[in-house]
Amino acid sequence: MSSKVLSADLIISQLEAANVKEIIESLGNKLHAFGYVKDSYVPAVIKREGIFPTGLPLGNINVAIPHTDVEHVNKPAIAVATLAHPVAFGNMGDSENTLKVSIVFLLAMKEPHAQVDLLQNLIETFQNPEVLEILLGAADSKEIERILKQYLKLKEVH
Amino acid sequence: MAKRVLVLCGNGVATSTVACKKIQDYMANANVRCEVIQAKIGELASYADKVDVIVLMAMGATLPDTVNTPLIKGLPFLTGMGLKETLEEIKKHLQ
Repeated sequence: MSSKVLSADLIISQLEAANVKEIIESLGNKLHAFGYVKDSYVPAVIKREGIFPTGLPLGNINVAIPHTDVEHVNKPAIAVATLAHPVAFGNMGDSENTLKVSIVFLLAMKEPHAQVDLLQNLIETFQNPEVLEILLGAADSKEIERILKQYLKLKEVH
Repeated sequence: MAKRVLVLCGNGVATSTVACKKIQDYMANANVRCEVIQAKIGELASYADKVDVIVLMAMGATLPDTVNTPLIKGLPFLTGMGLKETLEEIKKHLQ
């Protein structure tokens, strides 16, 4: 069983999805298959996303960061999808409106205080439009993993 | 007594943890003594009267009318846009 916070196993390049639910299911099922999250995680994230949406207005390329309470998580991970076509997410800053999201980071956090540097690096990474451009253009999940590891300053942990 | 800022999250504690750290670092640099408290929306009632400013990370949330504490939207902690202004506004309430 993998214990890496970020790995190509948890990344989907050019995901074909019609809506938010499909995206959370596709990524959440990966987290579940590798033991990162409990059975309750995917339904909990879908429910929370409906109440407190996580689409972030960043510019040309928008990002969403669905997540939920730590009790649904076994061990920390970040699942990532670049979308083949932008999908409408609720806007975190303006709940009346949606925005078109192209990259989704599904967060499974267990002890956020222990992972605050990782989260901070992730936020700084998606605040950089050039990185988002590079991620969207990446050919496959391995390349996305390589790019993100570089920017998240992750060291390999086996 | 040091003033207090409450960071409220809706979807667990991921984004609010980052906001807490940013606020702590910024206020320490500015020599502003403060206590940063992190809580979920549902726990608001136990804190609302005891803090000087609330930072709301769950922007979709509406707070009860009974809460009179100054409220600041935390979105800039995630998008980076207007972050300095947001931190300065929080600082005003903590001095």
